[in-house]
Formats: sequence, C-alpha cells, structure tokens
Amino acid sequence: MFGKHIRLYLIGAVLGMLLLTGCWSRREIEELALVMAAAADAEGDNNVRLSVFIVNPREIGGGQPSGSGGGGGTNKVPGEIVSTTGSDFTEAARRIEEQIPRRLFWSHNRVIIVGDKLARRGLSWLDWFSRDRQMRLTTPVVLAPGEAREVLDLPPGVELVPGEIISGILNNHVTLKVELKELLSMWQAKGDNPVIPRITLVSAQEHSGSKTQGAGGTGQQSQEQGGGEGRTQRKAGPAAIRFEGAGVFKEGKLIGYLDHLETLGTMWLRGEVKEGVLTFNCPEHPSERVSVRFHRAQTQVTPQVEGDKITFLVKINSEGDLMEQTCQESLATPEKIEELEKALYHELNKRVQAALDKAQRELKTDIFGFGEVLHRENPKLWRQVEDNWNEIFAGAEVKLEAQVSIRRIGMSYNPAGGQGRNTGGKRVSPGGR
Amino acid sequence: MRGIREEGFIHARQAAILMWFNVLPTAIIFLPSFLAKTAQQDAWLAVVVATVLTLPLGFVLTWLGTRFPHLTLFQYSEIILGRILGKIISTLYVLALILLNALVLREFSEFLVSAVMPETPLLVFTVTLAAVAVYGARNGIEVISRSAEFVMPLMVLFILTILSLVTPEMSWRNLFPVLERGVGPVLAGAIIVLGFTGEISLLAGISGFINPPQGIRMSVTIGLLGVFFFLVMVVLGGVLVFGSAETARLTFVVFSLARMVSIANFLERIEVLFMAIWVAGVFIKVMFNLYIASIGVATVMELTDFRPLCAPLAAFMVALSVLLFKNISHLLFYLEEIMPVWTLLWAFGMPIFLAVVAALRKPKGERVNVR
Repeated sequence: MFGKHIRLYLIGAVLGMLLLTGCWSRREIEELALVMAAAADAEGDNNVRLSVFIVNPREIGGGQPSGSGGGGGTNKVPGEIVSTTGSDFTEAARRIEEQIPRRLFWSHNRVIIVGDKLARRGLSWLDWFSRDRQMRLTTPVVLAPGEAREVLDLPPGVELVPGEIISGILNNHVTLKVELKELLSMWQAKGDNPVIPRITLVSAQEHSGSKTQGAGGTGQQSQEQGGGEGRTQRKAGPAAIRFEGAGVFKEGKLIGYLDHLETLGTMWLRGEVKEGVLTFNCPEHPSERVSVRFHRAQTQVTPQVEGDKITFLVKINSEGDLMEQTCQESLATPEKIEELEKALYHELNKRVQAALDKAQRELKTDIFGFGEVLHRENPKLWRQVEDNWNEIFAGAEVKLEAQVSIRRIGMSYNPAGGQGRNTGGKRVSPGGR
Repeated sequence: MRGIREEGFIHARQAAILMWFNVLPTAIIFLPSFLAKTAQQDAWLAVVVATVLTLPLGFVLTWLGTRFPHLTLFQYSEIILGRILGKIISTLYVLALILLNALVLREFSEFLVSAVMPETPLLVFTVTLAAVAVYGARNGIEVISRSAEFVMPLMVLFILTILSLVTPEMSWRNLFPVLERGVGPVLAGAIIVLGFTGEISLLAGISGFINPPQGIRMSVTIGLLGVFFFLVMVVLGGVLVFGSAETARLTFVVFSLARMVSIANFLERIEVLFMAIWVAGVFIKVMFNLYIASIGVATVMELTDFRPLCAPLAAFMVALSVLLFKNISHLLFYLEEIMPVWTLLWAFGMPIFLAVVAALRKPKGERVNVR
C-alpha cells in the first residue's frame, strides 16, 4: 500500500514527528512531590486532617545525608511535612497542593498512619486510600495513640524518612504487619475484626544512643505526651518510635488496645508469627533466663462443634534455636531440651491466654479470625451464628496444643564460663598480634 | 453467495490462538470482579461450569466448519436458509459484531483512562486503537493470525509471571468453604462467563480459511482449553490474593494483581509492562473483530473486496463506543447484566440455529472453488 505514494507517506511521517515530542501530560520526577508517609487524623467533629511527608530528593539522592553538622541545620532535612484539614481526604489532599509547588504523587507511599481519634470514628477513610489509582494495596497501616502527624516528625537516622523507618521496622517481623488489602478483608469478613499495630513515640531520654544524650535506660513503658502543633515544634518531636501493642476494631471502629504481650499472643493465634524470641526462666534456676529464637511457626485452628458448644482447637508448631542462657548448667542434653520445650510451652501459653482473655472477656471481639475458620469449615453452622458472632466468640472455648521444638543450640555446647572445666583456649594476648 | 474471498489460509493452530484472543483480553480485566460478586469464593467453579456450557457451541462450530468446508458463516448461512433469510442472519451477525467491537473499544479506553492516564480524553485511545486495527485488518487474515501468534506468547508469559510472582500473597483459605450457598450463585456466575466465552463463536466467521477444514476440531479444542485454563488461573489468582470480598470491590483485578508484585523490594511496579502487553492483546481482538465484520458486510453485499469497508466500519464502531455508554457504571452494568443474555442470543443462538436447520434440511453442500 505504500508503493504508489511513497513520497507522500514519507512527508507525512516526518510531519508526524513534530507531534511526537512526548506525552503532553507527562510529569518529570522533579515536578512531583513524592509522598513517603501519610498520616490521617480526625479534626473537629466531622473533618479530617491529612499530613504527608514529602521527600526532598536533593537531600535523599546524594547517597548520604548532608546534615553532617550535628543535626543543627534546619534546612537540611530529608523532606517536608505538610498538613491540612478538609471535610474528607480528597479535599485535604487538594489543599496540600495549594501549599506546595509540586503535584502529590502517592505510589511511593510507604505507610499510612492513623490517629487514635480518627480510628475511633471508623474505618471509612479506607475508601480513598483504596480507590485512588496511585495508591497501592500493599501499603502497611499503623495506628498512632495520639495524633498521627506527630509520628511524621521523626528525626532521620539510618533511614532518612519516617516512611522508611516504619516500614523497615515492620519488616523485622517484630509486630503484626497489616497491609491495606488485609485490613480491607479483615474489615469486610464477618468472622474477623481488624487489629492494627500501634506506634509508641519514644522520647529522647528513653531512646538513648547516637542521636541524643540519653539516660541509657531500658525503657519498658512509655506513654507519649501530646506533642502539640507538629510543624512548628520540630525540636520537641519524638526521638524514635517503637511498636507496642495493637488497636482492636469492632464494627469498623477502634474500641481498645492490646498490650505488648497480648499482641504477641494475637500474632500466634492469627498465624502471623514468622520469627521471634521467647525468653523464660531457667527450669532449675528461676532467677536466670533462657532465650529461644524461632524462625518457623505454623498455626492451625480447627473448630469442633458439639451441640451448642463451639470449641476451637489451636495447634501451634514452631521450631527454634537456643540463643542465650545465663544459668550455669549445660542445657544441651536431650533431657534438658525437653524440659526447655515444656517451659517454652508455658511461655507461649501465657501469651496466647493473655490475648484470649483480653479478646473474649474484655473486648468481646473476635480478633483472631476464628469466625472465618468456622465459616470455612462449617458453613451451615456459620450461617446461624454469623450475625452475632462476636458474642458467641466470647463464650467459645479455645484449647491450645503447642509444640515448640528446639532444634539447634547455636555455636557452643555449654554456657559461657562453665566452671571447673579444662579451658584450652589461647591466652589473650595483650595487644596487637 | 459469491461474495468476496479472502486469498489467505490459516493453520488450525492460528485459529485456536485467534479464539483465545477473542475471549481473554477483555475477560481478564472485568470477569474476576463480576464473578467474585456473584459466586464469591466459588468464582473459579463458575468458569468451569461455563466452559462446560460452552462445549455445545464448540461442537456446533466444529460441525458447521466440517460440513461446509472452505466457507464462512456468512456464506453457508445462505446455503442453509436460502439467499434472503441467509443474508438477514448474516446481517444480524455483523451488527452484533459491530456492537461487540464498539464495546471492546470502550472497555479498553475506559480501563486506560481509569487506571493509567486519567487526564487523557477517552477518544484518544479509542481512535488510535481503531486506526491501527484498520491498518491490520486490511492486511487480511494471515497477517492478523501471525501478529496474534507473536503477541500470544508475550501475554501468556506475562499472565503467568504475574501469577507466580504474587504467590507469596496467596492464601488457600480464601477458597473455602466450597459451594457455601449451593450451586445457585455458581450458575449465576457461569452465565456471566458465557457472555465472554460465547465470543468463540466468531470462529465461524473465519472457519472457511482454516486449512485443512478438518483442523477446526483441533482449533476449537485447543482454543477452548486455553481460554478455560487462563480464565481459571486469573480468577483463582484474584480470589486467592484478595479474597472474594475484596476481589468483588476492585474494578480491575488483574491490574491490581500486577501492582501487588513485590519481590524483595526490587522486582516491583511491573504493572506498566503488563499494560503494554495487554494493549497488544486488545489490539488483536479489535483487529480480528473488525476484519470479520468487514468480510461479513462484503459477503452480504456481494462485493469483490472487503478492504474499503474496514475504515468506515471502524469509524462507526468508534462512534458507537462513545455513544453507547454514559459512564463506566453503564458499561459495567451492561457487561454484567445484559451482555450474557445478548451473547446467548447471537453468539450461541445463531450458529446453533444454523446447525439445526442444516441438519434438518440437509442442503447440498455447495463446493465453492476457492482458488
């Protein structure tokens, strides 16, 4: 078809190139404001507050933080926090664009932080975060006890932006990790209720270490203070965050918090444990400690129905390594290992029972997805109980069958400094070679 | 009856690939969500049932193809029903095809606008795709088949890559309980699937080009198996990853699946590649539909060449695609509620009707000298 009018086609093609200089609606990366963390709060009775951490590519891209002058330079920050209010999140997001010279770009958002007050109001904010085409359903969601935007004030550390800090901690498997998509399905399922990990702000004294002068304490309990206006009082912001506990939702609203132990128990019951550490007393020396680190865990829940009574049999299988012992006896014999496994079971049981007590007695909410298990196994019975499942769950019996096996003992047989033994090691040389 | 004759021949394998392209590109975008809505976690069972229900159509197509070798539906309808009635049936079939292609163009553009480029006018996508399809369709069946053969491995590779990369997110629990609400929802879902799988009936429009004509049996078998396999995989993938409730909520499930891919924070954000391949797949489908509509009109009108018809028909389809639906909700409603019934009428009804009449009247199989 080109044969006859080859010249005409060629001219057309050349002219066409004029139109092909690029997409008219393209956005170069320097025209975008990359959102790396978003904080959603309630404002007033009906309004919402949206705060975003927008990364500053000049500071981030250089490979090293340029704020090497001791953290004093206020203009050397890895990003900017912008916060606005609106009657919903779309409006608030639009208002953010009134304040910054670039367009918001959400695809790189690392975390969604939800404030306590908004969470108590309900989960309807999820709609925007799952409908907008730039959002990703793999974004993790966390709760903040006070206002979520305070969390965005985290000073840069190993990671420069708060989004990376939070998602990095979540990837350590130390707490529940709930992604947007899981949260949505937990919310939609009748036999399940959302649990979202909670962030606790840690003050500078508590977070001892490289960043600030600290007291060097262990920092077990902390309740953060309300920080005030986030953007203006950067100096008074938190020094670090820690994940502690989790928020429980019932009928789409936050109704209470689990503490650390209960959260761990919930993770076991939900089968969310990937790795972790169990620390307990030495079987024969209650003042000394043993720690076991496990890497593999499997939870299987089976409902058993007898008449009106529903019993859930929870089988937990896990394997771990001996990591630390402070008691001066060798625990590496088969008999001792067996004793340790029994102690491990008790420790695990303690966590699970704590979670169960809280969920069944106090909150009366099925946060373990047991309802969905029943739904899968016994759809007929489920149909009868689904409408008031949470009450029935509160009365259900849960039996735990846990098998925690210690497979390996690490790099040494005996405790460090075992007395009375022949030590054949080299003498420590005084320095150098 | 003379009508035009396309000079090309295609292998049975190529016909099977074209059949695959008739169903897959649009079905994978919209179907998982519809099925999760009606059949919940049994969505994949609905695909199984629908495939079984599509089998009779496959038999009919095979029978017609071997009974009237070297003829297309537009030609043998005149042998079976006589000149006038045959032309009426062919015309109706062509009209249905035009409507179908308008629908595909709209689905394609709506998806691109919603998911990727919200600021670009819809017509830009519709017109560019239609223009390229005109160029392709004018080149004839052999070129269409070869381009389909080229795109198919890419599309297969991509669907399988996405599905295997999201396996860490999958959970078998999402599939249970099976048949929670009995077979009713599954059947309701199957009817929606029929709206998509019924499009294999377009094979009748090119059955005359398959050489040897007996090859159509293989085309139907392989094509249907391919369609079945990938539909089940995609539907299963959606439900396994998102759960049925969330799958029902998502507008474009497979696209969301592609967005889920994240291997070690390194292999992620591959949805753009998926888009590229998928656009190519829809292109094949639109081009093929346009081609059949063109030779259909040419045969009915007894023209000697179908090529001049491609561009006007495409323009008509573009206009129709814009006029048919006001917004994406109209489109989704049509796909979910109306299209199954309509497809049963034309895609299933017409070939089956022709086959029944042919079996009863036993018309003389007129041998057209192809060369």
